[in-house]
Amino acid sequence: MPKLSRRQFLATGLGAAGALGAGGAITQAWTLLSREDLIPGAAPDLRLPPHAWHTTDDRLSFAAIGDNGTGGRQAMAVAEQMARTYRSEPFGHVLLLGDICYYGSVEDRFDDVFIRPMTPLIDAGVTFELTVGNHENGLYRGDPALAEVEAELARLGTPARHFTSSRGPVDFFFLDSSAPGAFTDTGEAQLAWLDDALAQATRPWRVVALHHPPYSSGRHGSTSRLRQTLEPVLRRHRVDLVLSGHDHHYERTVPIHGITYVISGAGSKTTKVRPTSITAVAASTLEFLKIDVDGDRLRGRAIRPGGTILDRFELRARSGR
Amino acid sequence: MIARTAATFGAVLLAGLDTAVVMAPAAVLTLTAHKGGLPTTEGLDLLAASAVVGLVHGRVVWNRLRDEVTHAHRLADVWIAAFDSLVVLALGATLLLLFILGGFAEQHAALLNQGWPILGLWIGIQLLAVAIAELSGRWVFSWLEPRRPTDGHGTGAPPGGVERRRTVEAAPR
Repeated sequence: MPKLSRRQFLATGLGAAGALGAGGAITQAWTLLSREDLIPGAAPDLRLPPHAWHTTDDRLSFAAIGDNGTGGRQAMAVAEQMARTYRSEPFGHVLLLGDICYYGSVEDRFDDVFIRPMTPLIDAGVTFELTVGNHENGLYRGDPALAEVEAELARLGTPARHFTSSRGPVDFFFLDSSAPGAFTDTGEAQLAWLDDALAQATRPWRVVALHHPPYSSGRHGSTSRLRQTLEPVLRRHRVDLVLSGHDHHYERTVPIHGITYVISGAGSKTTKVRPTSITAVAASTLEFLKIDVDGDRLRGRAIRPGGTILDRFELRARSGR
Repeated sequence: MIARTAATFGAVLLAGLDTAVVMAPAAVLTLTAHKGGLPTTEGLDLLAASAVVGLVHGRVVWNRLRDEVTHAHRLADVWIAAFDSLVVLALGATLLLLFILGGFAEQHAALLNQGWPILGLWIGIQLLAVAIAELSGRWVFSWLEPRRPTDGHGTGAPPGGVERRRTVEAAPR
């Protein structure tokens, strides 16, 4: 074996150490690259007919999307498909299931991550409501840093960290599941508020939206604390549908105590999901949710960029309402 | 003869590895986009740009290695320097992308809004990684071979050239 000089030994050693370190770092980096949506995307350039939807006492169409805040190519592709879907089947309302801003602060990136991708829908008069996610934990806490963009944030139409709104035949309940919203005394107050609000609900359909999923087969998994605290309230008031994000995949559960849980968290990036016993349909693919309520039927579709349908489901209104 | 074939094989292998390392991040992103449900054309621009940068760099590596193999006192110095360069390239081509794309998302979006093609940013980052790797490879080689001879007489053939060639060919015996 040839004898190495001191310099050869040093250069070889550094190279080998670098290779060992690089191996781990590069594996991590590739995982990150495949999990994120880092390439900035061009905003959809579509003009939509304004106010083209029809909402009545027993009909409502709305969309839901979660974790869409990258401003990247994938986020733009999903936003463009939302606009194309509006063109063929107009909807007047979008539920944002949290995490509307990644890779920076919301005051700096609001335009890139929300206004630009959603411009066709905003211009068409579509309204948005946000359930606060862990990546915009500062929203609606009187953060002075947000003062400059408050007028822009008002486009979200989100009056508080937890609130309710009613449209057509649906009562919506938006919760703050981010810490400390769901995990401290504030959480107990929120649960009490939800209990009261659900008790006063009068419309045939009850849809709860929160960022963290009570049930999930994905990377973050189920939020067990929420199941302990929130699920009894949801069951008591016979909620029909719970929408959430946080895990970057699509998943619809089989009905659990009569409640269907849907994760629509792949609005801009994807992570793996491994179906479990609670899963009806799951996929690690970009998507958003389109929901049409017509009388006693609620029909949901998970739509991928390009317009292919990932999942269809139908719920029937609970009797006695 | 065997030594020359081995040197050629080594140079081809390293040039190919360098090309693959440059293309890998774009391949990962393209694959992710397809798995995510985006059209098959999504990400191909990045892949094509990386292929061009990678192939050009592969050619530069090939030329450099052939030159170094011809002039090296010890063949081992060539492969050690090439290996170090490859490690630097692997780190640079991936981590630099993550750092620049993830750390300055707001600025890149602003560039895009002003009409700058994102492909320019991508190629710029890759060229930077390639330049760092190329420089480090050349520096390590010159550091390992500090007594690189010069002719000193203004003629084309450096003194001791025959001796060097003997060293190269004698290596595998």
